[in-house]
Amino acid sequence: MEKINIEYIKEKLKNSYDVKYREIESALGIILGVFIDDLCDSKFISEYIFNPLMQAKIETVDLEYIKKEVLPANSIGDINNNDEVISHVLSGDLVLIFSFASKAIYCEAKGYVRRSVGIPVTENVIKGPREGFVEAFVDNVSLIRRKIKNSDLKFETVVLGNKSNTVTVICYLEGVAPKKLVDYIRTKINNINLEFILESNYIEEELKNKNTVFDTIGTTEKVDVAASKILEGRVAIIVDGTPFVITAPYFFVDNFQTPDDYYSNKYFGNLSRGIRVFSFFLASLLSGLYVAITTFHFSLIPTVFAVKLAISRAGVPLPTVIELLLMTFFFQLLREAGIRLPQPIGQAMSIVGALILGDAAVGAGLASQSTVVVVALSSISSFLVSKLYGALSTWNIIIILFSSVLGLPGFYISFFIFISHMAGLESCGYPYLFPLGTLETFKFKDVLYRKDLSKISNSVFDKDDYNE
Amino acid sequence: MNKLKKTVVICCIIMNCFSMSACFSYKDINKVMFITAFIVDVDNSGNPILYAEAFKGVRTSATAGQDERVLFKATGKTLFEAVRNMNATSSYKLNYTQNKAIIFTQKAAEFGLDNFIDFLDRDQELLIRPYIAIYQGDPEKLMKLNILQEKYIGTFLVQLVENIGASSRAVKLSLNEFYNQRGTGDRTNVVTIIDITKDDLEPKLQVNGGAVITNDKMVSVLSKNEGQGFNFLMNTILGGTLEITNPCDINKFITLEIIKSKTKTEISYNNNNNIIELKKKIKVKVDVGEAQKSIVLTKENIRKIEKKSEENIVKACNNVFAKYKDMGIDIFDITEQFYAKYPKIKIENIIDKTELKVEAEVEIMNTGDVENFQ
Repeated sequence: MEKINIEYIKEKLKNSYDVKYREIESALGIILGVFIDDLCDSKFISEYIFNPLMQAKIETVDLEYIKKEVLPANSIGDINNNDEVISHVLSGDLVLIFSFASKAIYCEAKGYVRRSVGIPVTENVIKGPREGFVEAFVDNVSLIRRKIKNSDLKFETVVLGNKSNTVTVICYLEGVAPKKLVDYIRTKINNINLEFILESNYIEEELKNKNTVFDTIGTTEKVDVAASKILEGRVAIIVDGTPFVITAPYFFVDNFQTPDDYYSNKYFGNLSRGIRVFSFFLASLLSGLYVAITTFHFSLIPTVFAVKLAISRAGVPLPTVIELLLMTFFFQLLREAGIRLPQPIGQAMSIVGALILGDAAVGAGLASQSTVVVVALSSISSFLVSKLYGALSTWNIIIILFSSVLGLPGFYISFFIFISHMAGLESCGYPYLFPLGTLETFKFKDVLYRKDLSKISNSVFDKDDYNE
Repeated sequence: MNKLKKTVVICCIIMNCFSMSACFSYKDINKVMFITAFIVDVDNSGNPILYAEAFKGVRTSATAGQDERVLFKATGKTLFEAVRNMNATSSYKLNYTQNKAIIFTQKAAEFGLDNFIDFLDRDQELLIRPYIAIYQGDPEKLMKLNILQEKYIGTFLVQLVENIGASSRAVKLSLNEFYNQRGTGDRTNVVTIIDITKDDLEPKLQVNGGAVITNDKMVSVLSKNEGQGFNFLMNTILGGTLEITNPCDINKFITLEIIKSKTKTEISYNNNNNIIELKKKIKVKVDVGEAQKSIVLTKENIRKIEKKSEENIVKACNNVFAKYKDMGIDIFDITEQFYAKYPKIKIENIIDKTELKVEAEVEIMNTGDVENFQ
């Protein structure tokens, strides 16, 4: 066994003001404490590590004696080489190096600043738990543990990122999560070779389908959502440093499910879900249908509406398709600006935006009222299924372009491609449209209609899947 | 499938999409003028004269904008040439997808609709949805008619025909039905006649009976009064009224409102005497709508009213049937019904050999109570 080399460690950790070295004299020689000031609890170190060491009369080179008799800290372990020393120091542990022993000891003394558990802003609910994940993975693990008190709940850790050494936790319920799914995810994660990991999307990208705008891997900030997915048999991946926990696999129908569906009245929940499904089609198809009908198939427009449309578009110099794309672009501009700006300025932005979109563009002859209504309706609808926002925005433009070239046949062709594309996607080896289109395992219990909770509270997977 | 094959298939699909362009193409809705009605007339040489009304959206200082009614007139040797000539006077392409009514003048109808129908049938932009009508009068006067209820003649005519349920005497026919009728049986149609009211407070368009078209030529006029009998026989009564004498006072009238009417047709052929028996069973449900002076609604009086109205219906039916039997024109679709039942028997001039038997059954459903009084 190699002896711990202090010089090597100091060389590795040099030029870091927050790395502290504290020497303590003992009867047998020097004991060197190495820790990072910002990551450790100084009071804890002084009180429960350095103080007992100074008080104790250490007359044996047996480190077991020190661990058992001297140090009252709760989490202590041995370190056998220099790299382990550095890893523990960087993780917020205190490492004790003994001049008279070949091994070192680490004591857990983490004490860095953590954000407290708060309400997730991206997933608002009317009723139900409000706690959300935080950046520290240990807190996230404890939040899930508190929800699922089950010995089968497993947390496997993997350190990823050659430079960042980010702790990633794979969480699943043994016996409920299919073995092949856990193996698939474990293999994928172990094969990740990235320099650094700052957010869960670094792992998400490795797991999901590459050539699509649809998110085939889910993320959530809400503890109860993650817990429900784990209980259904899916796998959660917690990445240190982000409150967004990955859930996999993630299916198309998951986009329409919200926690409120399960925590509020069943019938109203179903109505809301129906509206979300309808809004998905509205957001993706309305603009294309509008272009196709108002530029190719006048015979499908009722006369009264045709008169209104002709009046509304009178004087607009741009073709309908350009007008529609322009207004969609304006809307995207506003949305992007609204997200990036600080909230107080964002409100002012919204007012200016509403004026531009609602009135000024029509007044200036850039757009017709009917186009503004279509773009507004389409955009509002896309917010109802916010997780599909990116996919809807992209496919909306594709469908508009197809419709503008071929009218309704173009619209149908693009819709067919749209559906085919979705049907071709996979999420961790499962079809993305599951259970839609998978006749053998079709479970209609919680797809479009949420049945009684007692009937849907089971795994989404088949029994055969568990041990495959 | 490997990547190359996939790319080739996708490219083929996209190229195929572009080659699929039919006789429609991209056109902004504000870059066309929609025809809502057109009138076909003929000059003395038999050349078609086409009148049309169209709408066009106009941007005004008001945010809402407004629509303008634009009138066109054109002539040509054929209807299609006239249509193209009309386009030469229009700032935007004329579009016929919103056309609501195709009106022929009586002169054009008597000249022969077969001179114009082919274009209407062949051109894909002209739909089979519009109503077809015959106008008895000067087409220019009709085009310049200012109807306060509706700006466009086409839209007004649709509303007028849709509202036909209010009258049991009017006749309605869409272009689709017209096409069907002219190709089957003895090729006879009864087409709506419209004209401008003369004794109204202000001039309006009205539905006034039907024009009998045989072999694409107008041969007779079915008057408004004959219309009721015709509609009862053809099972096309949607509503309307029956007027009969008041059993309590023979100088006064009672109006019965038709709620529901159903006519069952039975046709049979007697081989021995070469006679076709046409039996019409008419069941009518009515409400008492109005009684002049007064009426005592005893069971006996109710029966009297029912009986009288049954007699009136039978009489109206027999009269109209007799008239057209004499003329030898089968406007009642007897030929179609006969050949549907007896496809192998060939008989010339079927209506001549037809004997009509009408059985009417009128039932008063509701006598109504006077409830509004102080």
